[in-house]
Amino acid sequence: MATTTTKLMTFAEYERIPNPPGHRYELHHGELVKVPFPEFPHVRAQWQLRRLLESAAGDAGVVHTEMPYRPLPEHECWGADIAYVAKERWNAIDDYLMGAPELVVEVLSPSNTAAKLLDKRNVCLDNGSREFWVVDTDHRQVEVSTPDGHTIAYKSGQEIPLFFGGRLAVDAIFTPAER
Amino acid sequence: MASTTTKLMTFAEFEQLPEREGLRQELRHGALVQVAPPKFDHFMFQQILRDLLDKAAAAAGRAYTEVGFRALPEHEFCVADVAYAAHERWARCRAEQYFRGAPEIVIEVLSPSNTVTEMLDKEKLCLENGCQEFWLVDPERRQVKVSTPDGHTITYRSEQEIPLPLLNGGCLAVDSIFTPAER
Repeated sequence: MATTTTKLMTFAEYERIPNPPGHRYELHHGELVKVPFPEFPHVRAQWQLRRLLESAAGDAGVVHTEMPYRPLPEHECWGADIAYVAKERWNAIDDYLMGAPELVVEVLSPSNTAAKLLDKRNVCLDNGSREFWVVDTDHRQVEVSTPDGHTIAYKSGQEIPLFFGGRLAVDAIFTPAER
Repeated sequence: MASTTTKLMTFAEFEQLPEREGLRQELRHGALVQVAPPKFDHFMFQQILRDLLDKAAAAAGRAYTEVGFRALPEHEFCVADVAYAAHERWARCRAEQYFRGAPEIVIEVLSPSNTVTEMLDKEKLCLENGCQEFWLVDPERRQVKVSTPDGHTITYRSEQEIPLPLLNGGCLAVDSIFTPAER
């Protein structure tokens, strides 16, 4: 999955690389990483989450899929499957969102390694995320992690409290009314 | 890493398989999975964790490495990198030939190849079948994720201590795992 450069790639170098068809590039710890576009079940879960979060957020913030962000000032440029950013911060973005979004949601794919995901979670929670969600469509559960080191797994029949107000039923993510 | 059979393999069929030198064989949801032997660092972490838990447990129970267990009566046979259980539970295993259900503490030391799905699957299987704590030890980030059957997980990092309510109520310093006095 990763193409390794011999030395750490800077953000300036990364910015000049064109994205090839069928893939996009991210910069992880100074290494160029080829990310394939997601398959449809993944896209569907992203769409559903975006819709639900957007309706809960109202005017408080902005929810997007595939949101690019720079969690650290150098050697990193990542894309969140879904992200929530508070309105004020959103309006102040220049070229890139610096730091991690307040909420980063990752939808699991079978190929995701545990090491990679734990790394992403740590970096986000250490650099501005209030919550990091892992959505597991296989087990129909959502793991919500916070910077204090706590994680809660929400399952069918449960509701996830949202820090920007409201609640999100787990079943609404996995059994949408319209698909 | 995994070789899958076309139909679900039963435990009786699994039991008949010849031992493969150096390979760990597991039965996961009726599929035979062969795991390469751990690299030296992984092996060392297993030994360190076993020793630390043994010391903390005193007379309450024991920890072992490479513990095979049958989380469910059929189609499952997992091997824990490290497992802890009370003495009476180990005694019961000797009588029953196999460890039935999941040990009280199951510890997995993360390897770069482990997928999230694989780890979540094992965690769920253990916590739904008698395991009280599922630990994911992450040597790269020097942290330990401890999950309990109530759906809660706490990630302990350097300078923090993991409480051990199942082992006489002591604590285990995260740094004692990753920076042991002697290795």
